[in-house]
Amino acid sequence: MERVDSLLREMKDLLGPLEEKILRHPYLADLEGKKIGREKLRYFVKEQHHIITSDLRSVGLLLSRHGLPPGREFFWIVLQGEVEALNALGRFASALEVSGEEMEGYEPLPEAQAYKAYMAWLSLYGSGAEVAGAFLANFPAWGANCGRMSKTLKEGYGFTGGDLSFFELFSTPVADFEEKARLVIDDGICHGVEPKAIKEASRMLQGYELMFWDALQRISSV
Amino acid sequence: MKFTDTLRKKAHAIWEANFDHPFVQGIGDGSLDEEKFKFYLAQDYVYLKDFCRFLAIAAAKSHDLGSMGRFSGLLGLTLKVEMDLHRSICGDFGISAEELEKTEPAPYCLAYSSYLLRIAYEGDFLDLLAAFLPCEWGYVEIGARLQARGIPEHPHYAKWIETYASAEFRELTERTKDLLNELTRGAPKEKLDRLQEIFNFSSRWERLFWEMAWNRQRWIA
Repeated sequence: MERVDSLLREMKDLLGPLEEKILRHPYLADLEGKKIGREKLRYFVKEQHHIITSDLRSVGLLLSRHGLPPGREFFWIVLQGEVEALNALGRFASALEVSGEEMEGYEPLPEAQAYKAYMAWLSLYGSGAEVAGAFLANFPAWGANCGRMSKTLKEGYGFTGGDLSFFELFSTPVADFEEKARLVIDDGICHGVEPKAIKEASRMLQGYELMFWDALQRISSV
Repeated sequence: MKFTDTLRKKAHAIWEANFDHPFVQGIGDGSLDEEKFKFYLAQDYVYLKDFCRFLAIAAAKSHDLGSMGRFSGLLGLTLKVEMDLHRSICGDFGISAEELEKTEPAPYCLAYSSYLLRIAYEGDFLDLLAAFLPCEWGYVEIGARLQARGIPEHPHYAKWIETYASAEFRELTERTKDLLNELTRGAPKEKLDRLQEIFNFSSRWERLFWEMAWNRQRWIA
């Protein structure tokens, strides 16, 4: 596992500035400053609906491609998370009075959806190690922002716990997630996946994460 | 030793069983029952449809434009030349193009092409090459070995042998082998073992394809 540790350290250094931009994104400050009204919050739900439904398929495909351990265990955890997220998003949508038809009919923003498009590409052409590496880099930043949103939406907007289960889900670390991801990365390297490819997938996915927040802020401040 | 030589060496027993199969030997000495050959042609035609899908995915999963062009070219050749050839030979045997299109895959035919497509969707480009090679290389080796013994009088069997023993087919196979050898240079043992496993499975499916044709295999129900 030493090579995985070393790769992850390298990735952390490489992606540190990008992560900082996500964690300090002005959308979150705008939300905390109540500059984003409930009506504009609906964009978050509608964009996420299109992302989660696509990611669900992507992870399903990854699970079908990795039917053996360690990939099976890892992608099974991720798939369960996606299913739960979709249900939880539905609860937040209800709290905001966004109907299923409205979510389906919404025309999403290309920049906000680049993440899911790249996820779909990775699930088709990428190795399990690239995906696991990209998730390890991305999930902490996404989870931290979800945690911050959850707190703000509860304290500043009056949403209750059940409404915010989507944010709670992502801000709560999943047991064994990191360990299982590391096993997938190690297995991939063992089977010839280049660490360079893992770094690239992580950089790209994290870049698209930032694009999501940028797009969300742009549309929410119009 | 080149990696493809290792693959071939480790699969030697399977490849010998393929060559010794009565269907293959029957083409070689001209004694094969024509009904079995017709069955084979129709099933091979069905197989080629999925094989085209496999080649398209290989092009999509290629690492560079050279490989992408090569697999796109092979796809074009299979769609236009090889499948046309099947239609033409089947026509000589009184099987119309319409009948050929309606042919239902036999169990081993469907299972083999499904295996290839599974590798294509699940695997990486190297996995695809390992799955593909026994088909391409196997035919070239069989063609060359049968030709060395002498061409039978049966015009279609003679044509079949001459096609696969041709310099063009040999060249195509050598290019695939070179590509696999180049891309596996420095690959870890675990990956090479996996490629050997895929190569062996495809080689075994080749054997079962002959078996299917020999028995004119049908679905039980």
